[in-house]
Amino acid sequence: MEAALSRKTAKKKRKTHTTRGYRKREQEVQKLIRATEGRISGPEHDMEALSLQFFHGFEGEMQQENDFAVEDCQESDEDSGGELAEEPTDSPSQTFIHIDLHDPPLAWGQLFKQRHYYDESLLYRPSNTLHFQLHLSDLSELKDSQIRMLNRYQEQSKSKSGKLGSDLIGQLSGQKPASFLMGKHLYRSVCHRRFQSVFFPPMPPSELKGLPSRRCLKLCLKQLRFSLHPQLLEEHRLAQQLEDLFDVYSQQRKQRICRKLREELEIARQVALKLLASAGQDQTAEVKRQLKLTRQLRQRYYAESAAQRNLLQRLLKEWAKLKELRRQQRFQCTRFQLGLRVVHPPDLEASYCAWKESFETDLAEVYREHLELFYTRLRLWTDQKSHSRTATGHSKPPRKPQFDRIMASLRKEYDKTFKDPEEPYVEVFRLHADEATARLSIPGGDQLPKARNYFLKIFLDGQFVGQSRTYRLEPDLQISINECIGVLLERSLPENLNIWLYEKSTLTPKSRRLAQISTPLVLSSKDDAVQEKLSFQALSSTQLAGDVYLYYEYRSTEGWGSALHLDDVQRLPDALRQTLLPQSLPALPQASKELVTPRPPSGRIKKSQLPSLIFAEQQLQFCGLDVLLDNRRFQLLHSRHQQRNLHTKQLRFVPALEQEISEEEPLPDGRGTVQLLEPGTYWNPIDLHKHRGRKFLQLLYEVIASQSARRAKALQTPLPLLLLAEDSDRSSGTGWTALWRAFCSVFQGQRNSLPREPSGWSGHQSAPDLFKSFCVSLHVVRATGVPVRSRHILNLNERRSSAGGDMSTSLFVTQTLMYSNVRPFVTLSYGQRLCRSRTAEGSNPTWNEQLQLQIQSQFGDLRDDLKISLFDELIEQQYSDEASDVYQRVQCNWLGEFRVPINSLLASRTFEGCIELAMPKVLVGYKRPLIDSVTNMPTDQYPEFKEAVHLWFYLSIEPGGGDLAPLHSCALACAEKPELQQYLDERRLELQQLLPQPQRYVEPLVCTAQGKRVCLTRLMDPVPLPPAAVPSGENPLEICIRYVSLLSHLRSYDPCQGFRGVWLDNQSLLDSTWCSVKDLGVLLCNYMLSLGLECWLILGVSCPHGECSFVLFRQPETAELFLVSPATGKRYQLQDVHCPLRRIYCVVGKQNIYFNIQTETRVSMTHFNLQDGACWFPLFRRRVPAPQSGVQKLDYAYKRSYELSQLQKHIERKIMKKISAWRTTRKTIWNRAFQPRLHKILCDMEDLSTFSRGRYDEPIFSEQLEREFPNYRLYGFTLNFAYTNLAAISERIRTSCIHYNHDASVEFCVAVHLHAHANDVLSVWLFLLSMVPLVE
Amino acid sequence: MAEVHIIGQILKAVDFAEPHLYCKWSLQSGNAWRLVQGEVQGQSHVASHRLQSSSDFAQPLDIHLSTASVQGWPRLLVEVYAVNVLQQSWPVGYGFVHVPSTPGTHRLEIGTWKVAPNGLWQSLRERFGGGGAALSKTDLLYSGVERYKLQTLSSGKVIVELNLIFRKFDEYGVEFK
Repeated sequence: MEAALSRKTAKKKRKTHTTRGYRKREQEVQKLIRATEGRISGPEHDMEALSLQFFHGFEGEMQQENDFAVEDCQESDEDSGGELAEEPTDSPSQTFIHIDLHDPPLAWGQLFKQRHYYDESLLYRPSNTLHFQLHLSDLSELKDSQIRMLNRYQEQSKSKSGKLGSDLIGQLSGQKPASFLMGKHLYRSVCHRRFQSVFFPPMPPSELKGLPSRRCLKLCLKQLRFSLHPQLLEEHRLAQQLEDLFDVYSQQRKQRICRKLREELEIARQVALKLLASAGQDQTAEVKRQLKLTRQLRQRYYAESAAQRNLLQRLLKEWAKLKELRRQQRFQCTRFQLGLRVVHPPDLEASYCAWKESFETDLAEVYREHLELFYTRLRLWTDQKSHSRTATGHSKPPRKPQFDRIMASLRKEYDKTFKDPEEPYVEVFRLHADEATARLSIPGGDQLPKARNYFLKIFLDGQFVGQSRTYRLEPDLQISINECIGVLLERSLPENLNIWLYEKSTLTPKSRRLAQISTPLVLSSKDDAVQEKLSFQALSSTQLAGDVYLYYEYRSTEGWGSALHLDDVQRLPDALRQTLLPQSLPALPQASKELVTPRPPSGRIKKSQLPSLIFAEQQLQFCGLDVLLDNRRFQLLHSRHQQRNLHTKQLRFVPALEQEISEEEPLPDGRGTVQLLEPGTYWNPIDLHKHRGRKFLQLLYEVIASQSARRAKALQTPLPLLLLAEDSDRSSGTGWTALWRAFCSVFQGQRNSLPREPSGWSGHQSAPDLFKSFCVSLHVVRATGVPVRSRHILNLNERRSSAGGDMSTSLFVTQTLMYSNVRPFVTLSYGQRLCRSRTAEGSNPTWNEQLQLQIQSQFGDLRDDLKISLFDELIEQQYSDEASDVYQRVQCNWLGEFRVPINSLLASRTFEGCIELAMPKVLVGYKRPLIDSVTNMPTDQYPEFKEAVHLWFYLSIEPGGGDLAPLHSCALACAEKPELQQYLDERRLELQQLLPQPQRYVEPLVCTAQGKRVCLTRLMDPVPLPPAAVPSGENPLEICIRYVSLLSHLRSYDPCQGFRGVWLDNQSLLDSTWCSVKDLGVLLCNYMLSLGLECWLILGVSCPHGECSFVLFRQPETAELFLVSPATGKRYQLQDVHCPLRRIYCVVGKQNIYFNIQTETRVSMTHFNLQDGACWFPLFRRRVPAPQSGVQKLDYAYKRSYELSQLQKHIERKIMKKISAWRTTRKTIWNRAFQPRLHKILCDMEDLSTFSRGRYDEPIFSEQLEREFPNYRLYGFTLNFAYTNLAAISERIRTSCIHYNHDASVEFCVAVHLHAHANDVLSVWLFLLSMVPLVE
Repeated sequence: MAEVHIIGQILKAVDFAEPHLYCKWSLQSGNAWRLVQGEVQGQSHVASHRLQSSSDFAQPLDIHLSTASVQGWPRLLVEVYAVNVLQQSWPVGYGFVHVPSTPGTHRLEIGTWKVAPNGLWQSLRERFGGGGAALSKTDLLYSGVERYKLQTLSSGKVIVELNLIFRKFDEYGVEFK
């Protein structure tokens, strides 16, 4: 079917008509060739085709294919090279390799316009003399036709820059019979794709050019017409309508449908008549069909004719309208003119006759049809009647058609369709008036803006192709462009044609893009150009619309001879293919499954096994590439060069020979980037969460800091006064800007640089990285309430001393001894560095000593805590066998510590006063000093003996980090209204006069995690409580306080931690579980709000944390105010002198912010009556209420913590490993017998620490332990902290120095208990116990 | 696993019209080559000479390559850029040279070219500090597929001194006489 179709098209396409003389000559040539060679079948077609093809491009080939049906199959196979025969043909676009058209142009700048020359030498004229030297003896014998033929082929091969093949010469000059070779080879393609075969007519292999790969697209832009334009007038609209109508009219005229229909109708009638005349009985069906056809034809004829007449009438009416309009407005701005030619019928009689004749025939026909209808109906009726007699009365017999009525209706139809016989014949044509007479004008043309200029840019699939010249818009809103653009397409077929309409501006060189027109390019047959009318609409304004008329056509490139047309690529006919291609290639002998080419995804894989392919490149290689990559020596060298791997970084020597490298040498692990973690251990999900949270917070701080710095910088730099840049891109430095700057630099002699990049913000980033040495000095004065050794630990010494016999056994002495038996000292340590004080005696020691610690570090690395630890020095007398040989062993038992974050120390430089040491909840081997054993005074009257260990100290650091640039958060965008900002400014001025200390002022607009400034009161919102503290449960407040105190603080010296820094909302805080100390207060305050408590947030300075927030709340039962430190979870009375809060700046409530304007700085003496105007300055008044909410996420959902057992095991193992590693000299014995007991203690601890406030230790447990294991000398303690990572745990244990126990028989025990709160907030409880068996 | 050591320097750029120059360089090699040590690309300082039209870069090269094939022999690509007083820079020379295939000391001259100004406006622009056109694809430096579309001007030379040490090529039958 397809073959037939293509044959049909081929026939149609064949337009070349050869003259008789030409054909005669051709036949001569053919005869000659046939005489010379007899073997080739069908050479006459071949030769004719060749010559035809040579002269006329191509069209000959088509016809050839018909002739070569089957018999020439083998030849064609050989000619097309076997492989080409398999190429697909169904769509030409598939045969191309699609080259990406989106490549940028190669060099920036303008594209070249190539000039085309008309070259005389390119023409070819046949002549009867030979153009070249032919070394043949019988040159004279050659006929003219032979010579011409030779010349042709010579030219042909010359254009191909080759030589004329000798066999062809021989063939043409009759010397040697040529022979087409038939290939015996079958070619197997590796590709799995099944290609479709293409038919190529047989030709010598040298001539074969393969598939066509280039085409020429000729694009003609005819005209542009605006149908919507600011200057559009009524006349334009009319004229355009008329023009469209006229187009339709002329097209109809051209097609002559009516006439054709009429002729057909005539024929049909004739046939029908003849059939009727010779109608037999058997032909009624045929007659009926013919009659039906006639009727249909007639109706169609009527319809068409009526439409045409209608159109004509409309055209005339419109034209009259336009003329009227033009006359009325007395000017003309369109060119459209119509001319009428009216031909009156020359002979009225004849026309009447013709009309009457046609009318009568039609009438007769119509009447007959009606009659026929009537008869059939009648027959039907009678049939029905005879069948059902009962229902006869209802149906009437059909009525006979009335002739008059039919005539009248036909007459009416005739009037509508055909012109009256008297009516003249009207023909409309277009008048093309010349420009001079047209005289187009628009009234008030002077007032109108200047003539606009337009041009078009043409893109093929996004690739810029060309642009038209610029045209001025005429008053008739039409632009005739008439430009042709030829595009050479190579191996690609664009799908879309895009045309952009530009308006050229008269002021600037830039032009404005108005509209974009897009149309798919139709790959039509090559003969006729595609005419298109493309409508467009303006992109931005709706004021513009119009049409572009264009046509385009594809052509083959005008190469030599017969470039193949795309459409001429033909499928190989199936029949031919069957015979041509062998059904199946013989299977290859070795069936290897390894295919180099990937298999197609479809299941239909041909079972063709192929040997694996080897690239030639690989064959030439010395060795495989993986050998190169696996070479250890190269790996070592490369890794050393990259300086990333710790092992290879320090490598001094890499052997030059491979065999010298031992296997043990460390290999660079991976070629990847820096590894953040130790390789080998997998990430615990909780660890990962903590790590990510910290990273997130660091990143957030970094981002906000840099953003605010950038904004601040931008606010400082004034805008440049003069910008001569023609476009917004200032940094490019080309064009006018550069010119101007060049001039400036010449005349001023200095550079006036425009601000390119605010570089200031990077300044403070680099500053903290400076390597600095700090000196931390601690002045410890005294301590109170240091726990004393219990009798248990003492009994050894006692026994020894009693053995000495100089100790009296009186009660007083014993108690004094007990009271003063502890020998505490204080250490100050940071990282690995440590210094200690002298040892003092007793439970209330006084040192009065200065400790100094040198720290050399970078600002960025200052992350650890500075630790002030309290130890007890235990001196044991050791007696060896010789009685004279006495030596002492000193053991230090850790009692408690106080941690100062180094960042807060850097920020506030000094801390002084009294602090409360963090003591372990359970301290085995020690007990609280008993006051009543010393004096008879009650405890509360003896202020030194509180239930805590207090330390008086003075801590300072030199040099401080005061040079840290504050965060320019004031430059960030503010979410509050401008009025409110202004109000706050006014209040600030007012307040600053009242404040006794200027640093008390806290900016009420703070930066949130979103990077926007909001008012502080917005932070206060009741947020969802952690799941353990749902209000129905008991003591939700305690749980909340505990939960908040377990969140991790970010230890980095960063301005974002302060009040002017970043305030996190509950979501970012709880998701990351990292925050700064002030955020804890906000969170706790919000929890209290949601618990319905009356609470405030206090911003102030506390001892270990510097700027931080406390929470003030009113106990609902007692209506007493309490202060809560969110970082530790401890609550203090307002009058408590030991409260770590040192200064109060302001109190933030949900409704208002109160600034502290009391001159009293001590917290314990501060009045807390917020309504007192003399003490507190309210920021907001009733008139201006504080803005509320919007920052916190009110529907925050807590997540459950991950599985803990694995982590617990990890921690335990880590501690054991670490302690064993630290005790390098001695073997570490782990006693597992104690572990379950310790576990049991730990399990109670979390609840105890949450709900028993104020108590700093639980003596019951240690006493119990000591009672249970009387044969051991026990020393141990619990540690409790929030989990961050394993390294932090080992650091905690290392500072407790429990591993420095040099007793030979010491055993250790460790127990770990993890208590999980929501969102991976873990409280870690450790119990470390060392025991020395008491053997006598 | 033959190895190539390329030791030397990009000595100077001579005969350039512009006084202040710097040079970007990179070493390119085929698939079968692997870098063991050294940097394969870099950029020199801006250099100028008061008297002669020569800019001394003295940019050291020390590259250690290993190879599995002689195909894709390494080549040194240089791009010379000019800098004006406004700190604008634009390319004034593109060129490349294959690393010589014999061991020993070599002094190589790399002839360079630049993209010619396309018309009067471009050349004016180039004169007044805007700079000339640059290649959008640097592979045009060495691949010849689309080079015909370029119109170039030849500019100065870059002089390179290389000392080459080849190792273990003889194991694979490659000998250097």
